[in-house]
Amino acid sequence: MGDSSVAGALVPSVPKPEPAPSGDTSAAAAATTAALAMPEEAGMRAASASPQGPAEEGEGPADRDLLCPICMAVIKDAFLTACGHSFCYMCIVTHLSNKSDCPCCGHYLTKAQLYPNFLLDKVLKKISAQQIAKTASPIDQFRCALQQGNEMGVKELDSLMTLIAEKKRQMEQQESETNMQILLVFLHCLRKQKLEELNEIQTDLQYIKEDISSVERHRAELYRTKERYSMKLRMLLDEPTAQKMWPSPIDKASCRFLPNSRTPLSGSCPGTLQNKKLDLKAQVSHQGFQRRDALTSSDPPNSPIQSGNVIARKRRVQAQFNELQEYYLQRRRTGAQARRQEERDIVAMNREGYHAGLQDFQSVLTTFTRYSRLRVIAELRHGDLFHSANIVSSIEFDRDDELFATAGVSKRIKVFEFSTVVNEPSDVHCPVVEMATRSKLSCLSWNKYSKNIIASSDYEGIVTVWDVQTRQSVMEYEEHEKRAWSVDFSRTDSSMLVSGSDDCKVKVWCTNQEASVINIDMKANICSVKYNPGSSFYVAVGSADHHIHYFDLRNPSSPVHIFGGHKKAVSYVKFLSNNELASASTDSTLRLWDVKDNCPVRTFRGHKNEKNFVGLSVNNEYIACGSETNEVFVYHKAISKPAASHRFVSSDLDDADDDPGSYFISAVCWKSDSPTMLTANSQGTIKVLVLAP
Amino acid sequence: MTSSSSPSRKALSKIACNRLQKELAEWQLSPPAGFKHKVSDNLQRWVIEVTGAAGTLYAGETYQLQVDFPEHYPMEAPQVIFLNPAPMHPHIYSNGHICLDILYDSWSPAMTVSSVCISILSMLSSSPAKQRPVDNDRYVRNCRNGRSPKETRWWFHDDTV
Repeated sequence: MGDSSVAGALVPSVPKPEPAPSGDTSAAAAATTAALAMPEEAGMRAASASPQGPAEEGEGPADRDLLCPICMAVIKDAFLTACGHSFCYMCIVTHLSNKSDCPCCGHYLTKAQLYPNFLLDKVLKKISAQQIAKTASPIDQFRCALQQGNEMGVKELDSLMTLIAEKKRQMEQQESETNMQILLVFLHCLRKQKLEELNEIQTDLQYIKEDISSVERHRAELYRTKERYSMKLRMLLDEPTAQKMWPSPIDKASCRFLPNSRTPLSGSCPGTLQNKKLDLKAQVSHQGFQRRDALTSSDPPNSPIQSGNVIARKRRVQAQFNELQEYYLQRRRTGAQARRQEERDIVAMNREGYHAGLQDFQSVLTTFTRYSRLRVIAELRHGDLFHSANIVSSIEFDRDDELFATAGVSKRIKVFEFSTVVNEPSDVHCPVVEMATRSKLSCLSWNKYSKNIIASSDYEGIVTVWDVQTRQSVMEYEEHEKRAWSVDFSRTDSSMLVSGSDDCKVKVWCTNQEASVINIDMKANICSVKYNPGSSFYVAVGSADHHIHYFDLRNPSSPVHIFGGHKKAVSYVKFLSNNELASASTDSTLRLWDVKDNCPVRTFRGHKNEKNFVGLSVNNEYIACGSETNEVFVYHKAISKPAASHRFVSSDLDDADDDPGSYFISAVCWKSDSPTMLTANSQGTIKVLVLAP
Repeated sequence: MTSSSSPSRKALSKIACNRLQKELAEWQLSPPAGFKHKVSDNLQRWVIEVTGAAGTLYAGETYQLQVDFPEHYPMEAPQVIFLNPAPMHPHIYSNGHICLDILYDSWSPAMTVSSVCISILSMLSSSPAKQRPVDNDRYVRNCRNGRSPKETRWWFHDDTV
């Protein structure tokens, strides 16, 4: 009873410490002093101190008072010093391992004078928990409330759940709408793209359908013509009654042939278009055959040949189907555009029964399927026995294709008679003219008017004009400072020639003057020059800067156009016609350009050419070039892949020591408007090749 | 980090980092009057601008304090020096070294950069005359090799200033 009365007496003293924190300090100090002085009363004081805890909690003390003076964080494992200051246990112990004083007041202190303050620990934990609760996010507070939740009623929970469900539904709907929107955009784009593709395919199908009708009509007309011809033939033969026996078997044979030709056509659907076109040619051939039959009256031997021929051409079509398809569609689409612009084309179409595009494609198909390989018709061993290096840099036909000249590292210009080389079986042919030169030669060009005149360019940079008849040089131009790679006589003005050199200059010469007429400084090595065959003003220049510069010599300060696309030096430029220019490059491609519209037409790939001059020659339809694989390649100008090729094989005993793989084709030249061409390689071997089925 | 003007210092311990971050936060909340901390990325070195208190010999004058913290701060005292030019004061040497006991033997972990700054300002304010310590030349010669003032055996004999 006495103890309880003592506790009751202490409670009223709580209001006193409120005004000043120092009051608390002095009270604590007094308590400490009493504890030290009277051990017996210490127990009573300690017991009386515990009720003060709740009072402190109620005060809400400042944050700094909760911090350890050493680490300035909330006191962890609170320990009280003999002088009454509180620290983290680890902080004060670390300090006392170095010094023996209190960090706050400097009073003498040892580890033996530290006491745990459990009450302070509890208070600090509670306060920390409260502070954490205050700073927690609303969701965390809500979660804590729910977990402890004795305060909430069912109605409140129901309303909260309704709110949460509504919120969830809204968020899900929003996300769903966004996803739908994205999907819708994608589907719209996809539909648009597919519709465009569909329109394109439908347009192409329309073209194909129209062309099938045209070709079938044309074929029907041919058939009717053939019928009328047969009728006339029969009438003529009918007059001599004694010969009636002969026409009957012939007529029956031809009747049998027709059903056979039709049956396979209906059987092969995928290649219907191509097969019908081939059938058209077969009909034409058949007509010819019919005539021959009438003349020679020998039926059996020709049939197998005809069918074999047709099969071979079909195989060629199949082999290049994709290429032909691309070209066909390209021509038809272009033709369609032209048709929209001009109504006259419709009239023209009605007359011919064809679109211009289809007619063009037929022409290409005919020429493309006509040949598939190169056949050797003559070969001659060119070069002296004592020269190991026999590269033929240039081989050129003269104006009339009667003579051809060769030149190269042998320092000789040799002129051969073409008919002699082809017709005589001798393995060794003597040139009709041979001229020694001071330097190795890089290029030859015959004059297009004077039959005896030929120009050469050499490794010293000298351009020489020779008279083949007198075997003398007529003129020597020495302005180039470095190797001259190319020279060309103009076709329309026979007194003008152009040359290009490693000194980065293009020079135009006149056979009547010693000095150059025009000088063009190009800033890059010149590999090739060529006059336009229809004009003495236009010159194409192939350069080491990967470009073809097209000049009008009336204004040589800048080119009319620069054709870019090659990735390496342009080694050759040649004109197929006034508007078509072909170029070769060491990027292993040939390119076809339109010099009227100044645009690229096609790129040809299949041969290999990375560093050497391998030759380039063109005629109306075909482009020939050499390869560093010692092969000659022939491209049709409308098809990107090779139409034919021929490999040189070196079987000479003398060359056994050399590496066969190191040889390359070094020069090629078409005979004008014919499938025949000259080729030469780095061994000096010259072959006459002809395109063959 | 190696500095030519002071010996090589080890990186701050975790306790030191935590303590300094709290000091910096408190400084930004309520800096002591007459002091401005120059902000930098280096927590281990503080440069503080000091402005002389009004009504004193150093009124209106500005000086710079450099405070470098050791690995085991706050158990070890920081190195505190004036950057050149140092104020003329009987307890401040021309090389910036300061003769103040709380920077050396009397350092306590309960002290902070703020409390040190206030003590230095108080020392400046109670200066009777602008003059160097009597042994300035000899002391500066001995410290020519960049020795830290914490390596000096200080004799704190004047309690009036």
